[in-house]
Amino acid sequence: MINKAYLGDELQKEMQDFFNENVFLQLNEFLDKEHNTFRKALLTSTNFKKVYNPLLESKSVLNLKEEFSIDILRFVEYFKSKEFIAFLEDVVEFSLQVRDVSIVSYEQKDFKLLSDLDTGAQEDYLEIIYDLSDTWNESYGGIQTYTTKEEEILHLEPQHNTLTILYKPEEVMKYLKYINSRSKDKKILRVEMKFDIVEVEN
Amino acid sequence: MNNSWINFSTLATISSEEYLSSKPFEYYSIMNVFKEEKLKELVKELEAYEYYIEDHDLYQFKRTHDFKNTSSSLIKEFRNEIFSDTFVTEMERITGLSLLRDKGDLHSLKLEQTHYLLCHDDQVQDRAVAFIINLSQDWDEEDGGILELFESDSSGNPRSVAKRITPEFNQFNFFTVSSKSFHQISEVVSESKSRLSISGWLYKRDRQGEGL
Repeated sequence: MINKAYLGDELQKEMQDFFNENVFLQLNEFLDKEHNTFRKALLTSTNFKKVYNPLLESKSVLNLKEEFSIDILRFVEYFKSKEFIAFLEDVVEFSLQVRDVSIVSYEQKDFKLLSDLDTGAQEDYLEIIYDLSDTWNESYGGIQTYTTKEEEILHLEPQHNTLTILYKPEEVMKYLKYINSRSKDKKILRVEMKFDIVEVEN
Repeated sequence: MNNSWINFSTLATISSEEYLSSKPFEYYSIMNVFKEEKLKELVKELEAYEYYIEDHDLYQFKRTHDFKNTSSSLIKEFRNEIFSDTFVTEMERITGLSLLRDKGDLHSLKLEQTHYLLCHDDQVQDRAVAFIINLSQDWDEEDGGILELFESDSSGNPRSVAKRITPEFNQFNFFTVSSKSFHQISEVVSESKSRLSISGWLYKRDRQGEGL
């Protein structure tokens, strides 16, 4: 499924160097054309449930326990597979273990606020976002910002078929800017994953 | 009582009992507390005023600096009336709180298309009463910019909007700042109109008459 361009040794070294230097990495055109099957299945799924906490977030989450679409489940399993995890481990040079995989949709009026829940007892982890969003424009809102109390670190704009790999230290918080009426019926659609860092590879 | 800015007879119609028993939390919304002609002068003054964009996770809008150090004599006069002993005494009668005189926050907000303010309770330091004086004319519900008050669940968390207040010119809204005073302003969707208001906070006073 991974675009073959990302599997060569030369590019792998480039990816490792970029990640080491920036603690994040974005890979465009990440999956081959099969990702269209995944996106179509998600867009027709009726198992997205609204999650609304006015002080925290508004979003829709796919209820995977009630999802029986083979196309969706096949992709979810892929993101937990040895093949995918091995790819990530090669790039970030950590040993990883899947903590959580969820499929989330954000549309008009949705948001995520900065929250102390992103800090506190949780340890550092690797955050992976695979994006299947509609063509997006910054003026719609929906930009995800990673920030410490002192400075903003990264702005993440929705970008179709892009994988973002981000080392998330405990002190970094994030928010997703309120999606305004200019977005009309466009959606941010993505797989959000957390990986525990088991050990640093030598 | 004669006053160039405030219709005290209108303010006197608000009973403390009604205010204290209001739902989802202690609030009131009333028209024509201020002299219409004076507010129109104020709107003209604000047209030339400098606004700054505020853009965070919780909100996006334009606001002025606090009017404490304003160079506008008209705004200075208005500010003096808002924090005057006469006005604050009336607010104390309604809210049942002890409030500071001659001290408080006052600024103007301007919400244009796509601007919003998400749910929060205003609890910062010793804020006691939050107030909003709406200055937008010909505003419709479809324009957005609705002040929405939340009801809280048994754990004290806001759950759903229980009251919606569409802005009107010379509408005075105020509420007691508390752990229940969750509110938001819905997104302004009008392409051509701006939601203009003056808002601020009155502060708690301790028994000796000083700020906490």
